[in-house]
Amino acid sequence: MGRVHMRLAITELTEPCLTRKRGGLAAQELLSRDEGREVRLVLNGTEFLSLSFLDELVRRLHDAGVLGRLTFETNRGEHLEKLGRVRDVRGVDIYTVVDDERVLVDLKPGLNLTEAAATDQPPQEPKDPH
Amino acid sequence: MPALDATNVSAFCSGIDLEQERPVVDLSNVTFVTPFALVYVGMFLRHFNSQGKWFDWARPVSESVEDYLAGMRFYERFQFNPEVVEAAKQLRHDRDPSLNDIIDIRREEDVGERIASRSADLLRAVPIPLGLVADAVSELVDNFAQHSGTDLPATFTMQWFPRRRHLSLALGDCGLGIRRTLQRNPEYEYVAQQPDEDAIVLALRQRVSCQPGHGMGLTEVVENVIAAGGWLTIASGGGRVIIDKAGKLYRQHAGCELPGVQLAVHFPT
Repeated sequence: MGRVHMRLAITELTEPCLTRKRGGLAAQELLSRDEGREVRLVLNGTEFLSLSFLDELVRRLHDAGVLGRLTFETNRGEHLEKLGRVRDVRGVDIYTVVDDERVLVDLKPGLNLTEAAATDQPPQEPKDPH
Repeated sequence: MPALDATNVSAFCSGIDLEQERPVVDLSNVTFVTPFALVYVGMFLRHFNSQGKWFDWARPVSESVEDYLAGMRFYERFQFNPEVVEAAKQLRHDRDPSLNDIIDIRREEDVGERIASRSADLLRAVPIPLGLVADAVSELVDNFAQHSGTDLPATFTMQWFPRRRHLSLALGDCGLGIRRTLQRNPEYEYVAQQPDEDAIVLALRQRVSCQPGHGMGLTEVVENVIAAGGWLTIASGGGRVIIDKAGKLYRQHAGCELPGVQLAVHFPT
């Protein structure tokens, strides 16, 4: 990616970054500031960042045609995993930056739940307060 | 029944004789109530409170159970008869807010993130990734606010078991429940003919929701909890599903038809 023209912290758009509704608000705020330039969105400053938040943000920005010129900037593995999860579910290209190179986040497929066998024992809750 | 937990709480509730004018909740032999069992019993009582039932007690012999329930205003919160409430007031001592307080939650704007932030603040002394807990709590409370379809409050509580290095969070409501909620999406109308436990498992799949385009929140909670080495119990209607730390599903019939969703998330600490 060439020169970054606009760099925004996610916390400038909304906080806390939890819930689908907040993701929609963040997208709305970003779109209100959009000038058609490339955007780098910094995720590191937020303590909490949920998958639903990111999913709604990505969905809205994709629908608005902005996602293709957006790059998520983070050095936290859990953020990249969530972006990879959204990419897998939505089937859209989501970019991050590594060594100043714009790269696709790795896909993260969902967990495969399986049926327990008749011989398996379910876990038990602690039965005293200690 | 020394400990009331997920394995016996539905049988406990089924044993309460609702034909009586003043049904008795027999806590006399109970020495401990797990967070899941607490919200389950609470939602059972609240559901029948909403139908005009008030309850009597068989008082707990265990002082710790008695002190805890009195301190949490359990008997007022779930509408026991006035003399029970009055007796419980005599047992109550002033106490500071703590991790295992019972909190009633109403469907209000931004309630998910408020409860998540409050929970994270209370858990700062517990060795657990707070982001993980905040994500789970906000999603689960948000699900209640969006989908329960009831004005009756939900109930939330937590307990840390430091010696066992275990944290449980439990949330219950007595709203529509998972099966009836999914049926609102024409794609899943067929779950009306299926057991509740099958509807619960369906709701764990990504992109399955009563609202097209949604359906990642519960999936995320399950995946994050399992990734952290934890496990979950989810009950709705007459069904219960346990998801263990390896992602194995245990489908169970609860034996008690209780509206709404009652669940517990268990984390190692």
